[in-house]
Amino acid sequence: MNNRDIVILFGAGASYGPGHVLPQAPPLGVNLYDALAAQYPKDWGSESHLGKMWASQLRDDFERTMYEEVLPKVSSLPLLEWHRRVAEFFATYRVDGSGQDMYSLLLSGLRTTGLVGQVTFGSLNYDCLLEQAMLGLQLTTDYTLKALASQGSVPVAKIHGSCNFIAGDLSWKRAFIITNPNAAIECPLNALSLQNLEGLLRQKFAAYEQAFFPVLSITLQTSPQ
Amino acid sequence: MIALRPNPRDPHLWNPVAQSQASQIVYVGGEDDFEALKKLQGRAIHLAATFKTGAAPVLSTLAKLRRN
Repeated sequence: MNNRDIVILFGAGASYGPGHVLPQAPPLGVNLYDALAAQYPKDWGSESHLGKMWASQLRDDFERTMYEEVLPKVSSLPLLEWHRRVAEFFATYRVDGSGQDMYSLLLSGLRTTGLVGQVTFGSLNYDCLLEQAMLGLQLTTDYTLKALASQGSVPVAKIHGSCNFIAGDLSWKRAFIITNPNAAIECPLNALSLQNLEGLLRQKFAAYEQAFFPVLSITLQTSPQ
Repeated sequence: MIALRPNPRDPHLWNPVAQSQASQIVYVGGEDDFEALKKLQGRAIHLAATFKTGAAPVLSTLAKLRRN
């Protein structure tokens, strides 16, 4: 029996508006395509396959286009390669360490009032701003939700995945991924450390013999639970 | 709930919200999104429009809930 009977659920607007985020607030969904295109022109820009085929639709409705247009028409490998850029993109965002961002202020308030041990957090966001704020307050994140009764760590459900979630090595499934659109694979998941997350992701994604991909549900109509 | 938009494409999320038996459900976000939420979960209460203005009301609501 656990006493975590308070749930606080964050959406995209929470990471857009907490203040004290570097290099700037992450984009909302409506601006996500253009932000990715600017940052990763080879994969997401107007001259890329994605851009040539679906730029205007991605601007109009990113999730619907990924699910209805892109997913059925491309094999899973390029899709996962594009996901890598999305993970790298969201890994660049960080709270500035002043403790004045709203995630930190809310967490501080919960701790001061003795409520932090009663809360389970949920987030739809790919960024790790919430977890960074927790780290800044020496709170430990529990992504597994297995220790709900524990006072030592705070459960965080990243409902649509997270930029620091990486599937186990999928090199043994390479042929399946290359040839199949919408490939479904059940595999272990690792949460990378937030320290030097960008570097860790680049290192993982650059591996040649092994194949690591992020766990982000940007294309699924029914996201993982 | 802080700054999230009700989205019919996410039934895994919004069906449980609609069916929630929680004693209190409070929302921080825009008025239009709150109106969409009210259609799903009629007991939701609108606390504030933004995270910045909503954190303090969320904390006081939770503290009040604990006291009662």
